[in-house]
This record gives sequence, C-alpha cells and structure tokens, in this order.
Amino acid sequence: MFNLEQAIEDWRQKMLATGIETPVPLEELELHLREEMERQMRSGLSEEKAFEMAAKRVGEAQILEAEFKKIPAKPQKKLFQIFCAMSVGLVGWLICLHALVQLIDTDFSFATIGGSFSLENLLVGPLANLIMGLGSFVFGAWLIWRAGRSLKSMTFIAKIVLGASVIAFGLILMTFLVPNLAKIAHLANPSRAILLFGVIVAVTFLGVLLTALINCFKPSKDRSPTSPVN
Amino acid sequence: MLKRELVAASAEPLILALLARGESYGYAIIQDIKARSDNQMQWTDGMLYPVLHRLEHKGLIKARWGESETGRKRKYYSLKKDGHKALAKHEEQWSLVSAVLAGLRKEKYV
Repeated sequence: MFNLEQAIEDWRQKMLATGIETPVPLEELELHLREEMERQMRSGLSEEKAFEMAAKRVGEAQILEAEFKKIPAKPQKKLFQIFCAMSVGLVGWLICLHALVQLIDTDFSFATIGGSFSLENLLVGPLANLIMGLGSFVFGAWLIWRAGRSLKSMTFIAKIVLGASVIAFGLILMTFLVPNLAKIAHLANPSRAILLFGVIVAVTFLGVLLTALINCFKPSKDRSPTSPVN
Repeated sequence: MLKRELVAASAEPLILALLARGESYGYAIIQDIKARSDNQMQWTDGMLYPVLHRLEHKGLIKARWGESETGRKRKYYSLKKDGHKALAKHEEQWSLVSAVLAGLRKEKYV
C-alpha cells in the first residue's frame, strides 16, 4: 500500500543527503511537489503515479544542488565561514606546534626507546611521546588543510594574510604555553616577544578582516548562468 | 520545442517580466510560462528555484512567505526597483536581436 507521507519523507531525505538545505530551499521544493501532485491527481492519476510524476518534474537532487551551489553565499554567511575556518586553522596550528615542541623536547635515543621497552614506556615514555607527537602533528596539519579548503573562494591575498595571522596567533599562544619558545626565537624577554607577536597579530587580523569584507561585498564573478533546464 | 540554450538565456527576462505584472510564486510562474509558450518552453520545475534565488541574491527581486487561499504556505516573489531596471535592459537587448533578425529576413526577400 502506497504511503504518500512516507514517500514525501523519503524524497526529502534524498534531497537533504545531496546537500539541499532546509528550510530554504527544501520547503519551497516540497510545496511545489505537493501542488504539482494535486494537479496530476485532478487529471485522474493515482496518488502513487501522481507523486512519481511530480517528483520527476521537480528534478534530480544532484542537479538541483549543483545549481543552488552556483549562488554565492550571503556576506554574513561568508564572514561566519571565515571565522570558522580561522578557528579551525588556529587549533590546527596549536596542535602542530605543540606536537613539534613535544618531539623536540623528547630524548629519542635508542637507549631510551629500545633500551627500556616496557608497557610504561609505551604509555608515558619517549615512545608514547613520539607516537602522540606525530599523531597530533598529522591531525593538526589535517585541520589546517581543511580550513584552507573551506576558504577556496577567497582571494589569494586574503588566504596569505589569514595564514600569517593564524601562525602569529598560534605563536603568541605558544609563548604563553611554552616559555622556552621565546628563547628559541632569540627573544630573551618573553614579554617583549608577546608584544611583538601581539603587534603582528593585530596588523594581520585587521588586514584579514578588511580583505574579507572587501571580498564579501564586491560583486562575485558571474559563473555559468543558472538555467531552468537540465 | 525551444532550444535548451535559448530557454536558459530567456529565463531571467521572462521571470522579471512576469513579476512586473505583480507578485507570484514558483508553481504559478512555471504554469504561466508553459501556458504562454504553448508548452514550447519546457522547464524542469525545480530548476526555477535556483534562478529565483539568484535573482533575489542580485537584489532584483524580493521574497516573502505568505499563505494561499486554502491556507497553504507559499513563498511569494515580487520585483524590486533594480529588477525593473534590469527588465528594461533585457527588453532593449532582446528587441535589438529581434530587430536585427527581422531586418535580415526582410533583405532576404528584397
């Protein structure tokens, strides 16, 4: 027995699975589907057949999604995306830097790793440090890569400024977390290092905000025109 | 049946021209286009919405949620000031194409 509401729910799930967002435009498409179905039923078709015809008329989910994707994101949405990408990138850098410091600080000589091969060494010793350090580094790098990928539509300059700001911000936080880092960077006084990094961060953040704003409000390049036929 | 490319190129001016007559919603727009073109313009129904959303993004039309006479939810679209300007430009360009074609056809028979 055909269950119309279940069929519509399945259709909705299929649309959602391809990335069509709710409530807009999915609600609008569903209203169209229902209206077309009613018209088909008035012309004598069964509920099941009318649903099939209406769903066909609305079109395939992947093709619709591809067309909706061509519409540029609203400025607020773009700024939010930039904010999210920056946060993810920053966490990535922090994890990477922390992993590097952890690896540098560890004694990986054969005597310490191979010489004391025990469960304790595996869990808390240098071997654990090596595994955790490398693992964190890969995870951090993956986060940075993801953040970069989500900013595909940004201009090249914005990406560079964003990258620089994230590195600078990561460094300043690391200065707080690992006082030795200031010494490594030949800055004897940690507070001066913080000040220096602070200036870099302020300048780069202003730069990225300005670039992002210009990028958001300038008219987007007209991609292939949206067409009502597939 | 009209060629796919021509249907695509004429979508924006046709939607703007329809909305210049008063606010409307997706389903009615599709039905109107089909009736006016004597079913020669076959749009995939769902593909109308990306076009409408693009026009809205460009600031040519605006949308509001309302209700039909039967109480069903509907999204109504109407033309904005920039939409009227864009429509005038489209009409000018399509008239030019039509005039050039008509001129060439006339020359053929002289």
